[in-house]
Amino acid sequence: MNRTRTASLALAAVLGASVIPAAALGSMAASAASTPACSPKALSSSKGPVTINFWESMPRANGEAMVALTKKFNASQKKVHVNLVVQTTYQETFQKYRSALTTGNVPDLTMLEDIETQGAVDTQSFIPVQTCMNAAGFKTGDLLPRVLAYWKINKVQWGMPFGVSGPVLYYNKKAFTAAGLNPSKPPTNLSALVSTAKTLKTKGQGGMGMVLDPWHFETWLATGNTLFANNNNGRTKRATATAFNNSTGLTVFNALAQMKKDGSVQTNSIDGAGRYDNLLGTGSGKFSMTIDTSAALGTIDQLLATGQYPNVDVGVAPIPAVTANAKGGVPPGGNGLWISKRSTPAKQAAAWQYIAYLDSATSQAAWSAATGYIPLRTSAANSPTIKALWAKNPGYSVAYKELTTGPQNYATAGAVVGPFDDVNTAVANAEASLFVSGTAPKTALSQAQANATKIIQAYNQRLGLG
Amino acid sequence: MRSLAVRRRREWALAYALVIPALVIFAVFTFYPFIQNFKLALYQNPPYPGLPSHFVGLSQVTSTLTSTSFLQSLESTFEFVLLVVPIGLFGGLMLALAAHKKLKGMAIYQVIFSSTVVSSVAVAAVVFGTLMDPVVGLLPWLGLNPHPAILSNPTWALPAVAVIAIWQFLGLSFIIMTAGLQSMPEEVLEAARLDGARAPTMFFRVTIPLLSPTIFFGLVIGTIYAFQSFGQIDILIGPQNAAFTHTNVLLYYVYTALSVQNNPGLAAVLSIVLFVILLSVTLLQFRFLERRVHYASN
Repeated sequence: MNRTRTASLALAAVLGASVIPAAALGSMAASAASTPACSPKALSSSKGPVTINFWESMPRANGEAMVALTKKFNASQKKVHVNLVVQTTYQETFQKYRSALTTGNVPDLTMLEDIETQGAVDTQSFIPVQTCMNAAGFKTGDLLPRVLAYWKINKVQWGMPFGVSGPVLYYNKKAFTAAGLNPSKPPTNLSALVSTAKTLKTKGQGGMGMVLDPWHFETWLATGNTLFANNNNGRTKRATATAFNNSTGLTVFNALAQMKKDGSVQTNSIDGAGRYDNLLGTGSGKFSMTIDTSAALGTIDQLLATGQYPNVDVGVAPIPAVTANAKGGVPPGGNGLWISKRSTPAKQAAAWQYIAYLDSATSQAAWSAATGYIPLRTSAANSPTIKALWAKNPGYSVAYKELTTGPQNYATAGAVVGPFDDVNTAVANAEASLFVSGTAPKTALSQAQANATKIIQAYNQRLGLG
Repeated sequence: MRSLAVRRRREWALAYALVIPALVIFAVFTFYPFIQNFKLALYQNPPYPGLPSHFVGLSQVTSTLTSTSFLQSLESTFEFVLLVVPIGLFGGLMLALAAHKKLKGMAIYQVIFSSTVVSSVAVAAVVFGTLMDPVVGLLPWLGLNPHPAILSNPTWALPAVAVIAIWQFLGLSFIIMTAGLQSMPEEVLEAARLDGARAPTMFFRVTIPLLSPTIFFGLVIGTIYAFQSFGQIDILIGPQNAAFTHTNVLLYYVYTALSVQNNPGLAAVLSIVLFVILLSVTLLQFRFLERRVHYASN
């Protein structure tokens, strides 16, 4: 009881800062009093099975694994039936969800991309899973603390992590050898990355293929223990500005500009037809290194197994840190699961039961082995399945190690800002300006900061906070 | 006398009866939304549906008008219009002159030249998009292969989209110019010819002045057409493209404000701006250009 109190007080603090504090809190308090959200009693007292709709956006191999896990869950008990509704991309899912808020036809459970965390809270249409954890007396146990921290704002667990990954360095060992580099010693920091790319390029091995994904920028900041946004990355108070216009940010932009100067890098946009050019180019031998999500590992292995790429032997390494003596860590990426505020307490409890199943050690081990997402529990990482996988294929362990090394602080928890999509576009545009028009790194960085801050302020103002 | 008054009243009643259906439709679908739009512009909307909007007065208008994205959008819009209208009109005139000759089979050319009018924006965009594709397109085959690819290149995306709009506008421009040429008084041309005017003089001193009402009409229509282009940008560029900020013309900005940013207030402000621009451009055209237009007296 006391715990629920604390959670709802923290929730009130978050909501209290937004548009309609009185009305929102009033209605919340009323609904909480009559039917406690997420109560397991609501589920046990309901007649017949409770069906919930779950919007998920896992493509291909990952989607198959999602279906397999859910089938197993539906067959394992009679109280809850999960109905998978497959969506397209993360971005379109959230857009569709927002439209659904108008029509009223929202799913009971929604899979949302990491960067939508603050936005999801701001829709005021989800209950924090903390409510369910408290109601069910759920212990987080050996769930990785940094991963949980990503979906926590003001100490309240809002979404529940499920498919979690980290950005990793993919490189072609054969090209390294041909260029006279040691294939077992990939670059570990940005300046080493720059010089390695240059060596590879001058030795005719193709340089670096780079997708302009602002996630990597955020990660580099965190490896240098630097915040992306103010107010502790938006974790203790709503972020009102970005905070990356500093020496760490400049180190990253300088490195990108240097690679452009060396002619050792080619970029592609995160969206559109060229989305996978960095990965495909690494396969074709056009590039010898690239940075991308660890969740692509399963697909990469499938492609390599076809034998189409005889000149490629893929090595996987942690994303190079911002500097050689950086003391930070890598924040998690991926997706979280969100329970609707509009569903009945029985459906909310049903959704929680399903989430608890998905995040169990057994499910996580199976999920990780099939996809390349990391196992979210230490016990899952120590399971025979995962141990065998990692022994055979060490690349799969890289992201897990990334997310379990370094300090646990607000920098490594990652940032939450409401309009993250637009903020990311501002960062990507600044990065692109380094490559397209040769803008000075200092100018590009301060432009990114100024534009992103304007976007955040306009968003906060629209929420009535400006 | 009385019967005349009655008859006149009846005529008025009939006139109103005939006008009312159209008036009602206009009122419901045009006038009412038009007025509501001004109201929307005074309210600021939260980023997500279902949360309350609040009254902000004119501050939303001023903040929008001074924002970089608006100024960038305005710049792109004018660049787009300045590319499409003059080239479209000139091309249409050239085609019309070429097809005006009384030769056998000319009707076929007239059909071909005017056919772009009936092509759909979506089809045109897809065809041109394929031609501009960096891998299978016509441009790389010609050795033109900018990096980044033309449709995601901040410098070239807008001209590329303008090419499609020009191509589509050519048909209409051709029809307008042909109509103008066909109604040109033959005796004036003949008189000029008899006076010994050579081709360039004929063109600049006789044809163009006589055609000026037609060109003027084409200019007004073309400007409105260019300001309202949407489909090409939506299909070939889209809001996630790296070149997007340079192709975000006003009308498209209205669309993204509404459907991507979920911001009816911003969309309302932008559409009012678009309305004001179109109104003043048209008024300016009438005010300053009409004086130079020569209307032939019958």
